[in-house]
Amino acid sequence: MPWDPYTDESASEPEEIAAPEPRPRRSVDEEVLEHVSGLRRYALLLVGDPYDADDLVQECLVRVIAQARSWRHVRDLRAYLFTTLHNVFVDGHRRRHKHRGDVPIETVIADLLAPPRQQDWVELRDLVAALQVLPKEQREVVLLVGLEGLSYLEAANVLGVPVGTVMSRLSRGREALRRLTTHGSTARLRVVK
Amino acid sequence: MNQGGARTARSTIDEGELHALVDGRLPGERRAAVLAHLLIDGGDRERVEAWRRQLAGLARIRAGLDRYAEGFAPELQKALADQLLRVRRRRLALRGVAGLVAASLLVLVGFGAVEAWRARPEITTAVVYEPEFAVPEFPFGGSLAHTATVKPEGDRERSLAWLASHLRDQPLELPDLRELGLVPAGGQVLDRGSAPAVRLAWTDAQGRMVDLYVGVVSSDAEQAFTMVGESLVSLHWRRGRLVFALVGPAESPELLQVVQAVISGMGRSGQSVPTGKAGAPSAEPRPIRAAVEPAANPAPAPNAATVATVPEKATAVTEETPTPPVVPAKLETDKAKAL
Repeated sequence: MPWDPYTDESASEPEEIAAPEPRPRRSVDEEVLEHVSGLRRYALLLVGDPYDADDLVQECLVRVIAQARSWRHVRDLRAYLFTTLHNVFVDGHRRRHKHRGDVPIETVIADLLAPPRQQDWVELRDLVAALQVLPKEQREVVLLVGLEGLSYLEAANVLGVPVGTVMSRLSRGREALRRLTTHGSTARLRVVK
Repeated sequence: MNQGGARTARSTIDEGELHALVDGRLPGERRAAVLAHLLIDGGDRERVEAWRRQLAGLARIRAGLDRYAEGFAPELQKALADQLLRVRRRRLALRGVAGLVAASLLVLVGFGAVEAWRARPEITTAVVYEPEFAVPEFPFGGSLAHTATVKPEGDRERSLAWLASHLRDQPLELPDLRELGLVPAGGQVLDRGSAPAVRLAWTDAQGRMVDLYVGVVSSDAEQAFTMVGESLVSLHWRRGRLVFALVGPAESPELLQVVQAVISGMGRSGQSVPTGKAGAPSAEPRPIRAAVEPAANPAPAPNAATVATVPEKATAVTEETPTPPVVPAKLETDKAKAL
């Protein structure tokens, strides 16, 4: 029987967001801040600007805090946070910073990374540059699945699309990345947002 | 194999299965079939290898960004705390408006509009209040009017204990906040009909006031809320039938410490924590010595839900007043009505 993303082990949970059991009471720090690193990492590669990324995360967390009563009933807080981040991203609530566009994101991230070998550095720079060229819908899926390790169903819930759409975007995104990173072709890329 | 997920005549391997293989999400029985397919399909094998390199690159990026991503937390905590205060203030303001409406309705129902309005000028003055009386409404079932005032001078600790004794059947250990630079400044017994409440006040060296409102509610359904000025913040929690609201300067970073000290100083297990505050200390609160023994003054359980308040003349409480609580005659009358 062929594999079906709807029925694999990661997709077996029927509902990822709503849950009947309330979460145990913990502080905001414990509940939310443990996911901030992932949010910030994802946002940085998603928007390609550290300042916009921080704004995105900030706005996301503000929304979550404002809904503090409801999110205590959320079972998968990580998925909830990424969903909120996605909504903020789609809503375009990010503030634009003067820094935007001054420094290529691949350079920013290369500076942030621990210094790898030269060959690794080039590959990572090309990969980051290629990610920024992808349509944002494909970039989201590639990052949620590949960077943050979400299942296809989790990614579908976060993005509010069917799993089939996630698979389609993942396929097209990865293929685009493959073409873009082959033979150093990203050196000729221009990031258009 | 064609891209786009469609099956082809020459292969039963789905495009999604190739991705699932790369992502480690392919079940064992299909994994063997896909691997066998890759042995004979060089094009798909090349694509899968490229996707694996992408994943490995993302994993290295993820690892490399760990320090960057985690370094955000301290800044974020501060931003979250600030934002939380703003959110709470907006929410409290809305609740305050709702509380005023609810309190007014209670008055109208309980006493009749004209009579109640004549009898309760404090309701009006409570809306426009002095900064030191920053919380005009402490409703959960009724409005407030002070009946007794503790003067700042004299035996403040005993005066506060006397105030706490007005909570009758709800013993209350008073916290010692001197380690946080707060000394007792006085307080009030708040007239809520048969539902007692007190306001306990401390002040710091700069003269800034921190108020602790403690009231008795008759059921879990009742909500405590306060309306505070723009420069103030109110934090709520409850312990059994006691409802607490701590009000202090919004810009004070020590306010959460005060909450911790109050909770710790009251020395009760199983109490709820203040709701929805960012940056709350996660460590155990510092032990604060209780200033006085719990007030043991059993009385029948009050009914807060049905009684509105009636103003009483102010009764000064000084150092010579740690006497049995004086219950104004009108209050007794109202309590009898409620019962």
